[in-house]
Amino acid sequence: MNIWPYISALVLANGIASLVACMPSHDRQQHAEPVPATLESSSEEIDDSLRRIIASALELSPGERDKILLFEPFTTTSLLIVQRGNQGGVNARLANGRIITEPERFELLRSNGQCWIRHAKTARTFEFTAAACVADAPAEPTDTSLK
Amino acid sequence: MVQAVICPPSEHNTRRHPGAVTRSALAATALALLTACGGGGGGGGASSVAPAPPPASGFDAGEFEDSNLFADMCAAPRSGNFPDVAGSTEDENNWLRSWSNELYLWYDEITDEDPAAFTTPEYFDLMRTFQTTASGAPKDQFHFTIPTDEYEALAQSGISAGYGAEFALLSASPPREIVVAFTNPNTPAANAGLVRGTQIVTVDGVDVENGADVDTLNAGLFPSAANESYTFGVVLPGQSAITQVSLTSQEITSDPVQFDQVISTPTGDVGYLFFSDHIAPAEAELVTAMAGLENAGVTDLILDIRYNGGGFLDIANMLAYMIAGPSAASGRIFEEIQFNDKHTVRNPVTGQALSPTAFHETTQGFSLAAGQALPSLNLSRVFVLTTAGTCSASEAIINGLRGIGVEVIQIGSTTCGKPYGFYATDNCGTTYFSIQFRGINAVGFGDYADGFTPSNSPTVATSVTGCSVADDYGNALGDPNEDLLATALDYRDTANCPPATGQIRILSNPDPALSLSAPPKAGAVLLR
Repeated sequence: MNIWPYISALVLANGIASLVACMPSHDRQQHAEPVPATLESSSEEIDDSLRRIIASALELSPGERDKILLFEPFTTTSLLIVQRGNQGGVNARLANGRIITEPERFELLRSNGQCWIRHAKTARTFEFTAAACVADAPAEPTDTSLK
Repeated sequence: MVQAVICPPSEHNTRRHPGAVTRSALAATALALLTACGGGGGGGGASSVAPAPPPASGFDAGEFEDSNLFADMCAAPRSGNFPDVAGSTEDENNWLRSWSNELYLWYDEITDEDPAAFTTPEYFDLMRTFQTTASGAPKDQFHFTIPTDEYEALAQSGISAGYGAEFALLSASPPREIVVAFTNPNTPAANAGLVRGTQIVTVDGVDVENGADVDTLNAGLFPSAANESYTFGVVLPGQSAITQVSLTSQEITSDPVQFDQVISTPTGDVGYLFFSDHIAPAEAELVTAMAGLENAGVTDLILDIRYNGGGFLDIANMLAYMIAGPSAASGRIFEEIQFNDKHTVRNPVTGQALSPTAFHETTQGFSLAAGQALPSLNLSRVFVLTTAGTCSASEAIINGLRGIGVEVIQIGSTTCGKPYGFYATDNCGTTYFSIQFRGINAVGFGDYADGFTPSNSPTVATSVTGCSVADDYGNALGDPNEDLLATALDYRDTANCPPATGQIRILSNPDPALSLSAPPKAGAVLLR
């Protein structure tokens, strides 16, 4: 049986639950449901702030943090996916030809004026104050039934 | 990033290399690589190993300690947040010896050597099989290392520094020949007018064909960071004059599904999908493209993966499902991973129980929310356009579909031949890649180390029905006149092939696998 959708749903539910738990109580009262969001702009300062959050989530060293290659993250999608091996030359690319692990996924969420970043794998959430974010427009209805 | 190798003229450079050997400035596609410059690290080719001194005391051939006893015992421990403790070269070699014995797929084909008798790079090079495949190519073509700090650097998926051009190195050694395979839109290369088939003749004044300054060629063609500027002498398709073009590298966003289209034919509409990289954003793009083709009611699909070097296997799995559909793929095995015979029950790295991976029927959360039903074309056959740059996860699509009885018709040339995988493992600042598992399909087949080869008369399991056709840089990708696509369309109607040309490229490099066997260390020169 393919249990991944259930796991994903569980992770998402846990993530949102923990995110809500992190929020001030008035946020929970006014807008308890965090929604996917994007940034209105990008800058090196924003990228640096994101690198610090990613480094914290993944427990990276400062040296590793500073090497994270980003380009206008969260400006077109609420998802940020980072992976290793993209900067390791030919051998890294060869190694990446058959990846059975998952990339690291981060999601930008907005709740009542606050921006939050959730690390999918651990469901840890981080307040993001380096830039304003806007909630994504509601998506068209889709078949999201889990199989 | 994909890096190919240019070496200076030398006695090593008499062999020409296959077409479609490209390097993505987009950090997306791992394509076939070129022979490393004399020597080079690891690999399946002949290696020079220093004569072994007399065995040191303590070496007991055939007896292996737990690799954990030697892990992180380093001749030169790193300072900072690392697990390293003071050790010796012999400790590092002992770790390699035990780790290889525990996890290497062909551990029983390693000749046990005294760890005290070699440097660590030399010793790692010995920790592999030296047997060959049926074609005579090295059985293990993927044995290499990368400095850990380089390998572990994180990057936003689909982002790399470059110009947005994918270069095809038709010959990486003098007389070199380099053309643009394709560009990504709205990139420096595209904006400068470079198109598929554009020849690169100089880089900052250095002659590409025979120039000795390979450092400039490599640095110019494969910038390591943004804001690096070089001037290229190029010959655009249909022209003879050299045009000077200045390019400045920048962060490039790779577009893994650059285009898809419906080609109308008298016998029905045919979908064409150009898929260049199994990166996370591809999930969303593939779903959108396949949904469009499903809605268009195509009756065949031509999947262009000629420059697709692989990536996330789950992406390959989803695409295969979207081709075959639920009636053929639902509940069936896409791929089963096999480790060596010491690990038949559990994945020795993750500890998880080993079980076959079924075709994914829903999105997996790479760039779409997980759990959404995938579209499907419900096809009983698919045409795939391939070159030596078709590798790894791309080959898994072919193998996975063949495993459930979907007919795969291959147009192009032999794929790279990589049914294997690794868990990259760090010890003392070096990340080691040593083949640990292979993938087999629903009927248990995964032995395609020599790649899949199109053949009018398939005789062995790695021969696939289809036509041998050389890549055609004279026409745009997706153009029905482009040789591979044109052949697929014609074969669909006639089941006939034109005279074989794809093998010519392969024959120009008798052992393309060997060129993959000795990739350079990261940061080494890229072309030769």
